[in-house]
Amino acid sequence: MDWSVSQIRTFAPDASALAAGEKISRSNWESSGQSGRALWGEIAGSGSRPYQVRVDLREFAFRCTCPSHKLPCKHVLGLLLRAGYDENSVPKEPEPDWIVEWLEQRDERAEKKKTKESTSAAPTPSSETKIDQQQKRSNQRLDRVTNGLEQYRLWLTDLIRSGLAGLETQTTSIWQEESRRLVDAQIPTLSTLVLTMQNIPGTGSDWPERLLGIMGRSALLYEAFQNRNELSSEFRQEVEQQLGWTVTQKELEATAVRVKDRWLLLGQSTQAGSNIETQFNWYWGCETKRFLLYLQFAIGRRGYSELLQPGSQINATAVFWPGTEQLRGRFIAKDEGNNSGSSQSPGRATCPEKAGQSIIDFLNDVSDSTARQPWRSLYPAFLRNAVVRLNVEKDRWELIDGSGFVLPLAGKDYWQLCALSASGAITLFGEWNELKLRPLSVWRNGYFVTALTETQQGDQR
Amino acid sequence: MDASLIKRALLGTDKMSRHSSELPIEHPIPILSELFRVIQEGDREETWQLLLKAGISSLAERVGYIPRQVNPSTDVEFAKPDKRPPMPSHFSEVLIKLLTIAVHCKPVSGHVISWLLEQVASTGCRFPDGDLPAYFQIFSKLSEYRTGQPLVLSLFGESGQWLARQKQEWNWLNIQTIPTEWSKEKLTELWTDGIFVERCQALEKLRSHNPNLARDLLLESWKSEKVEQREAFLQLFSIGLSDADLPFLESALTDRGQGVRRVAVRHLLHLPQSELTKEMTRQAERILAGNVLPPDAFDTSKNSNRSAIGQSGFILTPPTEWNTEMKKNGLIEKPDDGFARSDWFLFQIVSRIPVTHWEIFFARKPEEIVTMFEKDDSFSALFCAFSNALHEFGGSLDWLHALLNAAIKARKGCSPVPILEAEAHLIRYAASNAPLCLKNLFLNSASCLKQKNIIETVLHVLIQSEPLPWNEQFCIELFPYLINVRSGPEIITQYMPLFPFALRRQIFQAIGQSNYSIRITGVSKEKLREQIVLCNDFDRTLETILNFRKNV
Repeated sequence: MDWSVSQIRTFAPDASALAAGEKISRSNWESSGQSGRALWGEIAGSGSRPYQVRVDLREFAFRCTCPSHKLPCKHVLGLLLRAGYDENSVPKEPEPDWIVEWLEQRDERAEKKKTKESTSAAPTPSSETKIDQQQKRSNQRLDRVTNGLEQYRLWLTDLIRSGLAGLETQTTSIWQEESRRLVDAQIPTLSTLVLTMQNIPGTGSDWPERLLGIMGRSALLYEAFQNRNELSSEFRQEVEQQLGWTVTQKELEATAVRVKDRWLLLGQSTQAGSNIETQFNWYWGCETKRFLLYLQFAIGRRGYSELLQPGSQINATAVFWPGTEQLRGRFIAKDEGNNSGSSQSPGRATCPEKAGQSIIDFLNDVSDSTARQPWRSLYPAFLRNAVVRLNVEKDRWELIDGSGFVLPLAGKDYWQLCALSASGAITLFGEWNELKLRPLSVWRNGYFVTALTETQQGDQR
Repeated sequence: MDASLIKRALLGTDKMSRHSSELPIEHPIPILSELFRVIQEGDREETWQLLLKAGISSLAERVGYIPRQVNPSTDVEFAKPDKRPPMPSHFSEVLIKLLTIAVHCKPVSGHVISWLLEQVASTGCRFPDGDLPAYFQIFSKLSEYRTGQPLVLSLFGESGQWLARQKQEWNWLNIQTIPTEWSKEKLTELWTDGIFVERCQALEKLRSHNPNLARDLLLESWKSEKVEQREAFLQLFSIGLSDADLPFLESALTDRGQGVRRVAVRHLLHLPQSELTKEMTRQAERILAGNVLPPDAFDTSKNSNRSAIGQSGFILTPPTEWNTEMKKNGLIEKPDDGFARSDWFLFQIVSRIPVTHWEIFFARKPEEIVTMFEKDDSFSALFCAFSNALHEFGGSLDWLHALLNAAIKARKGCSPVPILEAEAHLIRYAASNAPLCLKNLFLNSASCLKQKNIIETVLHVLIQSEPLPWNEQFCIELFPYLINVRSGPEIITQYMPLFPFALRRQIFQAIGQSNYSIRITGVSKEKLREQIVLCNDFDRTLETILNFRKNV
């Protein structure tokens, strides 16, 4: 097993599951074992029969017979931690029948999915009817969005007419009502944006400028949508995606360009909504030198469908959402011969040679990117030859590159990064947002050393 | 963004109209031409135009962002290169956990921390850079390891020292590197601008090589210091204490802070020439020999015939009335639990006189002096006072034996039972001066002491006096007592790294037995087990590193 204890801890859905997992790792397991492709164990629970815990090491999938809704549950975490603390405590043994059966079922399902995908690509008479129905639904949505946007424009105009100064003392209902209305109008992205706006009034002396900037950019989005027929098809697609139009998996796989590469997960961040949490996974194509943003969503108390570890790599073919930027993507085919889940364990993940760029080159890229897609709020920053220092006069943390250019960091406590760059430069990956950089992971001496802890990330938010 | 734009948005366009209908955009971002082309066309109302302009300004700022630039060769500082390798991250992770446990158990486990650090230092490794903040947090709670500790300094390495200079709260690490010959400017700067910890450390160092300068420095700011700080600074006068400090210490007797006065009294009692010592000696002699001595016998300058004293019976005559003189001398009126009022005064006064004084005064051996008063009703208080004085001022081993024998006799019901705290003082003194004597006494008398709970105190003392690393025989002797006393499991947890590997297995098995687990009160079985796993991990990793380095 390639994962270290600290990496396994990051798999935990919450602190209590981790604490319980740590306890269980030291409990008496009725049986446990591992093979090259799986890890398993049996542990007594509250039921009459012991819980069967299994982990597929090839693609990091897991299953436990306990009734917990947490993913992974404390038993899976306990088993992983047990193996992580002491490899010998989970002996190498032939796979028992229930493991062989489970792995075979997984392989069968994967095979079936592949076959289904290849057969469904061919058009049939019934699919033509489906296309008609889709067109009808699409038209209905267009009407809703057009009306919703018009009302949003009136709402924005009213706010500016009466002045933003009064917002500091307003209740949150003004934002929440508008946000709900935008959900009804099927414009979820603007709905989220409005919820973001509600947190700005009164925070820092520059809040009017920040709020006005966001409102202004959304006004530009309205204008772009109104004039969408005059825009190029790529630009129009970007505008539509900004307003929440989705691209179906089928459309994506049928039309998008495929890019095969060794993809390195540079960093990970999350953004919490009211009932949904979005995970931003920033991949880097080691050969193609391009970013891929893979989004995962966790609804309610369920975890993410995949557990992805920063620093891990995968050989795979990716497809990208259409538009001027082509940043968001997903993997459609993983190279089976070369992957074992996270093919390279994070602690040993080397930084791709000559990866990263200077601050000036990065800012030039941000300018170009903004020109192509003006509504982006996050830019991946992969910066090399940099150090992190505290600017005592301004009381803020800064990243300084070899040419002496400085980027301010978002957040309050970066002593760990400062320590890591005490005697030499580091390569750092982070998110550039609203003129501040949020570090997510760091390489030092060619090795992936650390990602910021959840607490630190939480502090910054 | 244009300030007028923000002002209009804040006040509202209804109140602050611009009377202009054109879109005042000067095409700041040529590459955004596609978007601009579509929004330039058509008439728009003023408010909407303001919003569009704000959106474009915001984009322009993003596109045209020019970062600040510094000179990397002069403005960016690095730590000096460190030749020693960082310890493996897994090892560091275990060490941080062990140190964190030890920190929470201090001061009992001070030995464990020293031992752990010595073991780590023997590998020739330093703390990994990325873990330095975690180590700073741990050591910030361990003030005793921060001053003059080359071991700690070497483990933090060059990166640690550099990092400490960046954060004032951590700069204690560099204080010890200040040369012994300090310039007046440097001192004044440190004394004026340093944080409390730094100032304490500076004063402590200065007291050790130039106590007069240290006193003068403190005098400059004495009146403006907070009461807690005055007390802490004055505590440091135990280093390099001399008659030259007398005037300052005597002036501190009238300080507003009770704690300050108490510390001043304590220091003055260590100076035989102080008025306080002389006065206390007079009073103590009156208590111990007041009923047999002629009035002029209290004048210690006269060479009286001491051998004549004691021919008749001695009765302790403690003062019974509280007076202002006592208050001025720093005595406390309200007795502690277990003391009668007059015994309380006796205890306080006699505690202040070194026991060696009585050997000269009575011209008798310690054993005889203790026996002289054994039958007195106030013997218990006198015993406590002698024990305290022995602990505070020192004395010969004869005094230790005399008092320990008295304690054992008392425990066996031969005389009034002394107060537990006094025994603890006595035992601590024994630990630092004659641990072997205490160990034998303990092992022989454990069955007697056990019933009185003093066994725990003895255990703590024995543990702290045993040289490191503990040998297996010592642990085996200790273990049966540990599992039988109330705080045994806590002591086992705190000292786990010092138990030999084989014994840890025994402990592990003992924990598995239900009858043992019932005894565990403050410590969970899980916590003990976790500690054992961690310690085993530490041992194995340490061995691997040492073997690796040996082979290299």
